[in-house]
Amino acid sequence: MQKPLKILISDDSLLLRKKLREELEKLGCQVFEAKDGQEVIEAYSRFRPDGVFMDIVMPKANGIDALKKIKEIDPEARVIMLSSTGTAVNLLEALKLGAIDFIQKPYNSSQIVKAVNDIIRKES
Amino acid sequence: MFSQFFAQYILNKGLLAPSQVQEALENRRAVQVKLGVLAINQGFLTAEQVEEIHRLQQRIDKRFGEIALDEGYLSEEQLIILLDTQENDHLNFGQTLVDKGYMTLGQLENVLEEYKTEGSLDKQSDASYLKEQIRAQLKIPKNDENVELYYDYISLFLRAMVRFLDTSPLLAAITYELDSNQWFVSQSMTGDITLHSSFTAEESVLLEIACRYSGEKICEMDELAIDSAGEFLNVTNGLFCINLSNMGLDLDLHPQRVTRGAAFRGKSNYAVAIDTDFGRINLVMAGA
Repeated sequence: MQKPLKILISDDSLLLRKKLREELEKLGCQVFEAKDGQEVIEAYSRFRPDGVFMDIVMPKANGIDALKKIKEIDPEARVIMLSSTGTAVNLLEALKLGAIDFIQKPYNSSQIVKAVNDIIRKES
Repeated sequence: MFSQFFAQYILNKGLLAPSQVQEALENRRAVQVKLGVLAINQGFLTAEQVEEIHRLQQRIDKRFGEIALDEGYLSEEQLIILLDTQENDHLNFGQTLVDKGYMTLGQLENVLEEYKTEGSLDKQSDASYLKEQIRAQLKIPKNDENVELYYDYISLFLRAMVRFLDTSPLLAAITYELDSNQWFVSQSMTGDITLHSSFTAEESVLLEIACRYSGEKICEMDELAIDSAGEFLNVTNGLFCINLSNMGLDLDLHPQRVTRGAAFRGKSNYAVAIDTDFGRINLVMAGA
């Protein structure tokens, strides 16, 4: 049996984590959660997920700073930014730092399916 | 969306009471638009001709369309156009007003004509039309440097309420009476400009916002309720930041806060009362 894809969700919103977990578990993923920009770095080192969905506006450290740190830990990390602030500046910065995609909230299911497929494609 | 603008227009003009407009908005989806109203909207018939056909229908056992053809009021081509007309939300709203007796056909004919003329609907997008209506109703003092920003923000907030909360919001007025005991949801946007946005509401209203936004059954003000209400503002403000970004203004969103009791920021606060089918929200905006 194939091992489930390990996905880490980093968002301070309980609602977002709950909804996204449901989406990802339906796709057969194993899901881990972090609530802020510090927790996600610790969780990344601990769980070594196949992919990360990360918010930008978070307490303690924002998603852009957390992305930088995660890339230092693992330059191959596959991070998808999932944020309400999809401005040109944020988008450009995230992509420059190596995020593989940027999804604007509110997301729809097909965007999540596509992102998971992108993670799988990058892995193989 | 369209019916909401038409409803707001009727409200702005003081043609009906807010409770009548709200009731018609809530009932409009159960109403079928009749040929008479469709024909008036197209300009094929006057309200007087429609009423004449209604009178004839009481004596002749024929349908509305058949009598209109017999009397020479409509051509066959016009009748086909009317029968092919797709569902139109603002006409559902108009038909509801007539069915409930809040307006006569003649009054509806006049207001539809004015609405189309003043709104120049063919030329303006929904968003800009809504903004003009807000400007006409609120009249925020022009010497405030953020006045245009406030109109844009209110317009977007109303559209977000329609999209995310499935409600038909109606702007009531600028309000100066804010209850500091209400729930308070706030978020700041800073960068090229500064805007502090927030809304206040009674607990029952905030719970309904949380339920509608999240799609979850939430019965008390627990962590999920607080988070869902905050996310509604966060996502709305995110869309506003994108709009500003497209205009060359870059703003950062700060984490949103949900508290009981208001703590307003900024040098001038504008509070706008917005009525919905589940209660009132006060939208508060302030500059740097």
